[in-house]
Amino acid sequence: MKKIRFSIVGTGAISESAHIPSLLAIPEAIIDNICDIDNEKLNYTSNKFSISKKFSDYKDAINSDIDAVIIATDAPAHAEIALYAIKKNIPVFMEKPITVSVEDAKNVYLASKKKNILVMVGYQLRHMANHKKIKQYVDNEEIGNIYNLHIRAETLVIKPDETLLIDYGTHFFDLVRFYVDKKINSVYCDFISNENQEQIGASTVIKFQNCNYQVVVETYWVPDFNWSDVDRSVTFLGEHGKMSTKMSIPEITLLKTKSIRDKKIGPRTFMPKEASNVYMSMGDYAYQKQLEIFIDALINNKNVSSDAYSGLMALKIANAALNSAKNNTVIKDIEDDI
Amino acid sequence: MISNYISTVNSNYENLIQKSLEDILNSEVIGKKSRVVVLVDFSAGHRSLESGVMVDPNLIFNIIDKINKKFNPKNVYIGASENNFDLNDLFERLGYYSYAKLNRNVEIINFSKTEEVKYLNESNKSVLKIASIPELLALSDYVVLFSTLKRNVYERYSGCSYSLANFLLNPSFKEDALAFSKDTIYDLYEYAKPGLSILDARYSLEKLGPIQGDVKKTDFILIGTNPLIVDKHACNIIGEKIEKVIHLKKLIKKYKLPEVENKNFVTLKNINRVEYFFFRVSKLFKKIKLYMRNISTLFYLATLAIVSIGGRDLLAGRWMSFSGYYKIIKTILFKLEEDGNLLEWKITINKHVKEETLS
Repeated sequence: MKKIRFSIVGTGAISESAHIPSLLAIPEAIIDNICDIDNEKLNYTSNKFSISKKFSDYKDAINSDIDAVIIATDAPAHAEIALYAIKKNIPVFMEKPITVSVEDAKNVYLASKKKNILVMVGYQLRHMANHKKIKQYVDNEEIGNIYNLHIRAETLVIKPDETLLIDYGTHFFDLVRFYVDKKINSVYCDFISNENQEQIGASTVIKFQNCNYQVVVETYWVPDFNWSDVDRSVTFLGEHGKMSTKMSIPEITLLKTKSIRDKKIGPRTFMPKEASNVYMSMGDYAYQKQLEIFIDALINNKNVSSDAYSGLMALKIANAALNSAKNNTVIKDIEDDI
Repeated sequence: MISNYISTVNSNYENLIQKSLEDILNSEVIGKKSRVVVLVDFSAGHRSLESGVMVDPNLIFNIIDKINKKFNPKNVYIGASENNFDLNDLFERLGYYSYAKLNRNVEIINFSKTEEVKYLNESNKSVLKIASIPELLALSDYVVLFSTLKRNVYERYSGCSYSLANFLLNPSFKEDALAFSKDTIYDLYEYAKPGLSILDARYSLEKLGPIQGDVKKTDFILIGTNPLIVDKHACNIIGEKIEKVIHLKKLIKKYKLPEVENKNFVTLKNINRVEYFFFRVSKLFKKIKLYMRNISTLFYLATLAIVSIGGRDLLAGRWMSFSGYYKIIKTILFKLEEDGNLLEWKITINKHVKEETLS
């Protein structure tokens, strides 16, 4: 069995809680080294997971004998590290967002395309069983023609360097692209601010070419809530009913207006088999699943769905939404300048 | 909608079916793009195919033809879930595949080999309690349920509502769910909610076991929009008190059935019956088999007790955990409830010797 040797650049919370445990659980993966500019974090992670090889410079980490690199640093540093890895012909798995600047993201995408190096961005929602199932149902017209896709997501935390839309919203912009899978026509966004002029919410309306339905993504920052109270859901409204699911709870609720059963009893709720056989949290499962997909793509020379282009597009939608809200305009043709 | 029943003695079979389906065929309950799921009950007599009854395939085809003619749904899936028999072989032998070849929208499905989902509902959110059902059921627009009539030690009466358990895909879960708790039946009733329930009780099955049994002529078919009303009515026909059929009693209490007029049932006579008798072993052989089984059960229980309690622990005066005791009790109860068990030993043998009729 071929093994992939990984370097993990950035040993913060996401590496500690998701990437390193996931790699340790995947038989085809070997963690060769870890890297961080923060020595305290580096030593802590090294001791916790007994990883002896450690670097403080990402170039040393990438130049050691590895097959792939995971970039889990703060988002502004993603592009520089990714471009260096691509230059050294090392495939890259990077945490979302791809980076915070559209220009940098474009450079990463173009460099990976030019050198044909695999770059995958960690948008794990598209690998979750419930979202995959709902996409299948939409494609099979289970509820007829779709009228509306509505995503509502609340969060307690936003990274200081990033905004609500770039840090958090990109998850759902990527999920929207996963569901609709068409060229974007226009983006319009409106902000909601509190008394201190802090952005606490954003409503983004996205329209796709050759797509009759409207997509609305609402993101809210609710720092005073508990995680158990936040609402993160996806709802499709269709000609013959509606379907909804949660972001991290893999239940699907389906209402079919043509069904006598549903008229009498109400919607039915069920869980896809893939989700029900998982004995870990759905979030952990999704993190591991995306790394399995990345490793499978490396071993079998496959493409991945959440590639550098997807990462770039999620960022471009977030950027377009920011510009739209600032200037109160509809932003069009955001895919044309690539 | 109030249920209809086949209600005429000595009448033409075709007309009876047509009459019983009048209300359904005159309403727009099934859309043109809809997905109809038809559940067939093979449970009676399936374990060893020694003996048994099944729903008459021609009755199924007849009713699907009528639904097709009136509504022309996009898909009709006729299916059953696997147990200890070769489902494909049964479908082949009973003509299901031939029927599907003649009807483009009809597909014969082994539910156990299709995508499965876990059902969830308000009363059953626990991960331990969720059960696998076919994804087709979760996506269905209309469910048609065919059932046979059985009486056994588990249930004094088992018909349409109990046959909903055939949607469960995990055999061990199904066994547990039916033996220890009837919640699953209530949940399935709520989840599947058949639009049409047919009890083909021209021949019925009676024995101690849940599936094998002696075939009895009962000579009736009931068709209704509500499986509970059909079951309630069937109980009336065979002289069983609903109060004594636990799952039915609870279901009826929970879902508050509309009142049904008593005149709506009579037995069928002089129609072309379809019987499915399989090879049946002699009564002497059955007797020997039961003796052997009882002896092996005794050994099994004794070994289980010694192994579970543990000689060393017993001598050392140590106690097992509660779950240990629970496991032993559960296993012993299960053994005792099996067909031909120790408690029912005499009764079992008598039943084989003595011919009895239902009710």
